[in-house]
Amino acid sequence: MLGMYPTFYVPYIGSAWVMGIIGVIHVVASHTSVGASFLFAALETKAYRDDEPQIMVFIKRYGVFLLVFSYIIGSITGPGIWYAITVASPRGVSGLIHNFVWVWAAEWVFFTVEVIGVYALVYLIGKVDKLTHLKLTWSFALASWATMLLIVGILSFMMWPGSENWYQTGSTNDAFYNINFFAHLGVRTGSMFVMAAVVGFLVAAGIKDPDLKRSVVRIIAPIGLLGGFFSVMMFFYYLRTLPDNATVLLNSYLVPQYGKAMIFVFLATTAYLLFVWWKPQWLKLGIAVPMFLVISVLGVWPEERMRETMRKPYVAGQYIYSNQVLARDVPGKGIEGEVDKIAEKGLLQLHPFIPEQLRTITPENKLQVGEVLAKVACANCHALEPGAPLRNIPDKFHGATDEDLIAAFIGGPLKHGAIPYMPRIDLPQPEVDAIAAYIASVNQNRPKAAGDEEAGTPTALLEKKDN
Amino acid sequence: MLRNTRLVGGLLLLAVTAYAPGLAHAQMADSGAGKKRAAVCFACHSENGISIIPGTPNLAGQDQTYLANALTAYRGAQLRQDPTMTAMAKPLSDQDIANIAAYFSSLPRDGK
Ligand code: HEC
Ligand code: HEC
Repeated sequence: MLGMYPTFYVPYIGSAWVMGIIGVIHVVASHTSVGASFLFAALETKAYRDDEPQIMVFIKRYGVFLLVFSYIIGSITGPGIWYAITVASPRGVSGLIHNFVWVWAAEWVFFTVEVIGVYALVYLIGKVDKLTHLKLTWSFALASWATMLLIVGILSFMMWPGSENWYQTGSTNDAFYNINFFAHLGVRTGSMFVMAAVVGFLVAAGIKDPDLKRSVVRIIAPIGLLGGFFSVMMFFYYLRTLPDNATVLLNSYLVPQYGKAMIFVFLATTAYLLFVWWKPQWLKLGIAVPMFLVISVLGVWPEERMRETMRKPYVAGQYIYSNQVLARDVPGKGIEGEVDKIAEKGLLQLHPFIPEQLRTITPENKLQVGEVLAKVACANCHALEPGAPLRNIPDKFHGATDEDLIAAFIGGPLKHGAIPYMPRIDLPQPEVDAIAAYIASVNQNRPKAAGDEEAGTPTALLEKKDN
Repeated sequence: MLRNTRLVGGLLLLAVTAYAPGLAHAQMADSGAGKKRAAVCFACHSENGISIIPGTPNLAGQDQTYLANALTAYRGAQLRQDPTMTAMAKPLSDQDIANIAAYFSSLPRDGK
C-alpha cells in the first residue's frame, strides 16, 4: 500500500475550482491589506511632514473599511484555503509542511503583528503622539509585507525548485530561495499596490471634502501606477523563470484563453488610475465599485488560474503530481517515486482507499471501477461530466466512444509521459481498460445536442464543404 | 426538412465517391466515419487538423496517401516509431486508416 489519501471529487467544477474561488477572494483581500498598509505609511508620512491632519481622517476611514473587508474576509478565506487544499491535495500540503513548517510559523507571527497593528493603527489615531503613530504604521506595513514574502517563497517552490539541489539536500533554504522566488515576489509586490489603490479609490469616492479627496487621490494614483508597471516588468522576468511544462501550457492553452482578458485589465486599470489622478472629483462610488469588481475578478482570476494551471502536472516542487502520486525520488527527504510501483501492481492493489469490492475487476463492476480509477488518476485536474468547466475528460476526448482508442491514449502517451503537462500515468492493462470503458460509456450516454446525431455519416463532410 | 436535404446530400456523396475514378484506394474511404473514429486523435491533432500542442504535426489538408502510409507505418512499428503514435495506431483497421486519412486530407490547410 502507498501512503495515499482518499480522493475528494467535487462534481462539475472539481476541487481545483473550489480552491480557485476561495483563493481569488483571499488574494483580493490579502493583497489589498498589504498594499493598503504601505499606502497608509506613505500617506501618514506626508501628513506628518506637511502637517496635514485631515489625511488621518482618510486613513481612519480606509482602516475601518479594511478591518471589515480585508481582515474578516481574509481570515475566513485563509483557513478556508487550508481546509480546501487539505482535502483536495493532502499530499501536496504534507509535502509543503514538511519543508516549510518554520516558515509558516514565522508567517503566523508576522500575521499576528499585522492584525494587532491594524487595530492599533485605527483606534490609536489621536490617542498617541504623531511620531509614535507613524512608527506604528510603518511597522504594520513591514509586518504585512513579511507575511507576503514568506508565503511567496512557499508558493513559488510549488512551481518548482529550479535546480537539483533541493532534491539532494531537502533543505528549507534551497526550497525557499527557488528560482522564481524573486520574480514572483516582485509581481505580487507590484500588484498589491494596484489592489490597494483600487480599493483606496473605493474609500476615497465617499469623501465629501474636495481638497482632502484631491490630495489623497494624488498620492494614491501614482503609487498604484508605479506598482502596476513594476508588476508587469516583474511578470516578464517571472515568465523566464518557469519550467518547460509551464511554458508549453502557457503558449498552447493559457495565452489564447486568458491573454486578451489580461491585456484588457492592464489597459483598463492604467486608464482608470490615470483618469482619476487627472480628475479626482469625478471619482464616485458608481465608478469605483464596478472598477473594483472588474479589476479584482478579471485581473486576479486569470492570474491565479494561470499559476495553478502552469504547475501541471505537479502540485508541488515537481515531485508530487496533482493526482497525489509521488513522481520521483527525493533523496534529501527520503522520498521514493511511486509511478513504477503503480505500473507494476496497479492502483487497485496499492491505493488504501479503494473499496474492497472494487479491488478485482469483474464484468459487473468494470464501469464502477473505471469511474473510481478515473477519479483517482485524472479527476484532480479534469472534471468527469461532459460540458463541465474544469477541462472535462469526455469533451477532451471529443465525445469519443471508441474504448480501444481511449485505452490507447492512456496506454500510449500517458503511460510514456509524452504530454508535458500531464503526469506519467502507467497502469496495468485491466485498469487502463476499465477507465477507457468508463469514459466511453459516459460519452455514449451523454445528452445529445440537437443536430449532432448525424455526425459520423458521410454527410458530415458535405456540411463542412457547404460552409 | 434539414434531415431530408442531408440524406439526399449523403446519397449524392456516396454516389460521387463510388464512381470517382481518381480514388484508387482498395477500400472506399468514408471520411465521415473517419471523423467519428478519429475523435480521440482530436485530443492532440484537433478537430480541424491544426494542432496547438508543440511537437504535434498538423494533419489538415495533408496528402491522403501520405497520411494512410504514415498510420500504417506507425501501426507496423517498424518503419516509424513513436511512443504516442505507435500506441494510437495499433487499434486501427485498414478501413479506419483509409477513412481517417480521407477525413484529415479533406480539411482546409489554414484550419478555417
Ligand atoms: C496533473 C493534472 C492532470 C492529470 C492527473 C491528468 N491530466 Fe489530462 N490534461 C491536463 C492538462 C493541464 C491538459 C491540457 C488541457 C487544458 O488545460 O485544457 C490535459 C489534457 C488532456 C487531454 C486532451 C489532450 C491534450 O493534450 O490537450 C486528454 C484526452 C486528457 N487530458 C486525458 C486525461 C486522462 C484520461 C487522465 C487520467 C488517466 C488525465 N488526463 C490526467 C492535466 C492532467
Ligand atoms: C497524445 C497526442 C496524440 C494523439 C492522441 C494522436 N497523435 Fe498523431 N501524432 C502525435 C505526435 C506527437 C506525432 C509526431 C510523432 C513523430 O514524431 O513521429 C504524431 C504524428 C501523427 C501522424 C504523422 C504526421 C506526419 O506528418 O508524418 C499522423 C498521420 C497521426 N499522428 C495521426 C493520428 C491519428 C489518426 C490519431 C488517432 C488515432 C492520432 N494521431 C492521435 C500526437 C498524437
